[in-house]
Amino acid sequence: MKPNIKRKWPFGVVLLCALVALGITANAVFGGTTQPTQPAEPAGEVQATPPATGYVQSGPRLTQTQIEEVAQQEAARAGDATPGDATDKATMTTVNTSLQAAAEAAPHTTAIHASSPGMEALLKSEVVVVVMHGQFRFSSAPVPKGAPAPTGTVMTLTIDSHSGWVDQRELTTSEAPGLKALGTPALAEVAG
Amino acid sequence: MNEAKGEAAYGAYANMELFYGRTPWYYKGDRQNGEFWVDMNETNTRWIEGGAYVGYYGLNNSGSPFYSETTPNYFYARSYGPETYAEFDYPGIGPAYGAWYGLYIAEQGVANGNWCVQWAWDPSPTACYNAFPKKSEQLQTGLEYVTTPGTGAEFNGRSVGWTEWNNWTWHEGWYGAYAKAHVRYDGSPLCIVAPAPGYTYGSVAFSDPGC
Repeated sequence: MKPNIKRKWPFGVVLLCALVALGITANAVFGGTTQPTQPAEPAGEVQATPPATGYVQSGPRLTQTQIEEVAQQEAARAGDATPGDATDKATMTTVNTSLQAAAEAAPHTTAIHASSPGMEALLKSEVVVVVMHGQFRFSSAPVPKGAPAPTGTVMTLTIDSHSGWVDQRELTTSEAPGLKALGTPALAEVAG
Repeated sequence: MNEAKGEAAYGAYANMELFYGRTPWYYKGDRQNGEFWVDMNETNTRWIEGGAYVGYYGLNNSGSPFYSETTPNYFYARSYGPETYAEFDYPGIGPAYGAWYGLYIAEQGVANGNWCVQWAWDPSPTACYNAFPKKSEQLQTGLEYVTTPGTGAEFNGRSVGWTEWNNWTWHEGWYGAYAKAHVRYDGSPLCIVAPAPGYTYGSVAFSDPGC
């Protein structure tokens, strides 16, 4: 005769077993994935430091001729060494402004934020916006797999007015409407 | 397509790292980028992207020409279709070699076609663009390579992607048939490993020339 042994399990143990079983079942049925609230950078590895030191614009302001030389080099790299307007008169339009104003003038831009001290200093930097007409193609532009190289008949460059660095490049078929609000443009004839 | 499992992305993020880079002909138009792309349509003409590339030229503080083959620069760019390209390049500001950096390209909790670019260390987006589709079915990450080995160019890095699903949760890896890593390259020899060792779909390790 087998002894009639009744075991009384503590309620906590029963509850724990039930939760484990429920979790296993749910995982099998619905598929188990972790759902982090935010992406994480790889733990224990070196992380890039934010550019919080700020951008310092220094050195002499470039002359109009120097700005035009930078623009001409960019036009040549974009496949049109002799940009001209609709009448084929070689011209470029330049406007002095801030990088923030120039960035906000681009179509479809809903916000340009000074998200950090470094970005704030950069956005306040002085730039010259240069608009040129021609037949342009950015052969080395970063584009997704299968995408054609960007082309356009209007190239807009935002050039740091002290270093000559090109902060922004745009290729379109018409001048951005927002450019008119940046200031009175200067028209320069360029070698072509 | 199973949107609930991330086959449509409402946001993307990538941890990216450059081990080294050199673009000797940068001043002639060559370019090498470590980056990821959020592609918005089948014809690959509507997209936002960002990352870092190597090369710098400009004028130094005294107004003299300054050129560097190895300086990394952060960048982001977008296109709405033919002849609507815009690119923003940070002036000599980029990640240190051998350090991870992160970039979000994502909507802001509302599927309204307003996508924002935000660096991982920033508390808010750097730039936002509207009138894009509400979701992306093609995420890509890897190397953009427009140069030739004969110039002495070299580049080595990796990228690990994350996806934001339609319930606004983030998941490492790019899930499903539509959102796997692709590799973009225009030259050879290249060494491409996808997924990157130790990671899942949506990651890639790359180097040129060769392995």
